[in-house]
Amino acid sequence: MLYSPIKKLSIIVVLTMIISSFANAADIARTLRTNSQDNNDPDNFLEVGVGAGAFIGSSMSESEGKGAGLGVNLSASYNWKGFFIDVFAETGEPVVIGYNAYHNDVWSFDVVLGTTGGGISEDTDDRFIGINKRESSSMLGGRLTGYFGENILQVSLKHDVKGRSKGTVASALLGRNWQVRNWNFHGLMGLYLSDAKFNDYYLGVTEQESAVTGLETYDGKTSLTFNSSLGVTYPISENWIYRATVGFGSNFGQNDSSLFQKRRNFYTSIGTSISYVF
Amino acid sequence: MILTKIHKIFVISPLYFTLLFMAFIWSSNGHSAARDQYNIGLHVTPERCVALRQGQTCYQEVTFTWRQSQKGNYCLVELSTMQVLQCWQQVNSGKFEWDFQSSESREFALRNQDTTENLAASRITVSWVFKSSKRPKSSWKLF
Repeated sequence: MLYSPIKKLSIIVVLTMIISSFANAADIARTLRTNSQDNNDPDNFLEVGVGAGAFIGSSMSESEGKGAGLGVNLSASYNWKGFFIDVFAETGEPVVIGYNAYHNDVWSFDVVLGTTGGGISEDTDDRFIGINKRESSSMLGGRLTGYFGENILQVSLKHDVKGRSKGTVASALLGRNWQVRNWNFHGLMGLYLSDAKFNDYYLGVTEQESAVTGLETYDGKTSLTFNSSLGVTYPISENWIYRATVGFGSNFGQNDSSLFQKRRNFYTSIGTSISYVF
Repeated sequence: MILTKIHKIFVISPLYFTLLFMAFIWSSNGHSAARDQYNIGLHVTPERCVALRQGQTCYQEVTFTWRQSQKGNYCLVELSTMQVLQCWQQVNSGKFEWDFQSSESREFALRNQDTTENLAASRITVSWVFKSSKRPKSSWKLF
């Protein structure tokens, strides 16, 4: 999970991500779930839906590190002459602005700018009273996507240009979709690397914060996590789609932080939703 | 105790959601074929097949029903390929179940066995959720 430190701020946030965009699957999930092939992406769209999800893993705000809930999700994409803006559209970031710099039948290269969303604050949990609020990062970088039949490979590299964390993240994803009658399945696995600066900004606890909150000091370290998901999408009508997904991944190198109330080395998630596509 | 109960309810929610959806799909497939089979003409239910993406093969179990005023030898024909799907001998009504598989809409007609005149026609429309357009090919623009 690319920005798991941020997503783990609360179970609710995690559930929202599961329901809205199967966030574990990250950047290429939309392409996979729409069963697009040969570098053939869907046009502009706006989706609004409702869903349910359950999650078990590490958590900063839940002592048991698990929960479930219902939620409303919004997802949108607008493309114009190579420029695009994706909102909760299968990416690890809430909003991604980008430009398709190169494209042929096999390869596509995008320059992308994404915001990570906010970080922890005093509102996240009572244990964080007196802690410095973590701000969102603006991650600028590139992502290269290769389309090989029903298989999609994507690598990305992004750096925080806003200067809050000054961190760098990278990912390598491999996905595949297949159709069984009108059911569109997708499988996705990926490795996510977050450097020490990125993790330290979002997961670190300074001596000053430790003195105020009582949390143990922690210096963020470079982490490499594994994420995977298996999902299905079914077109109910021209405007309604049904989705379900299960996710599994690791939290190694991230859940050592004292910010976590419950630490698990692995997470599991399940989500299902019905969305209206405008 | 209260939290535990809430968790159980919520954990069940995805399963309940899925079961509800499957029930919806099952009920929506049982269209009113029986209602149409007594009308003169050719009817197909359902008339629409929805794929997720434009260009995908759409799958749909469909039922053709037809009725004519006189008994005769009739055939059901797919008009784009002229494939004969089914023929009937000396009857004035019929029913045919077929596994429709196509990425495009298709027209069907009922004909007398030895003629090319369409006595009645019907159409299965293929639609989709996501329009799929090929991005224009381009070269490197940044460098």
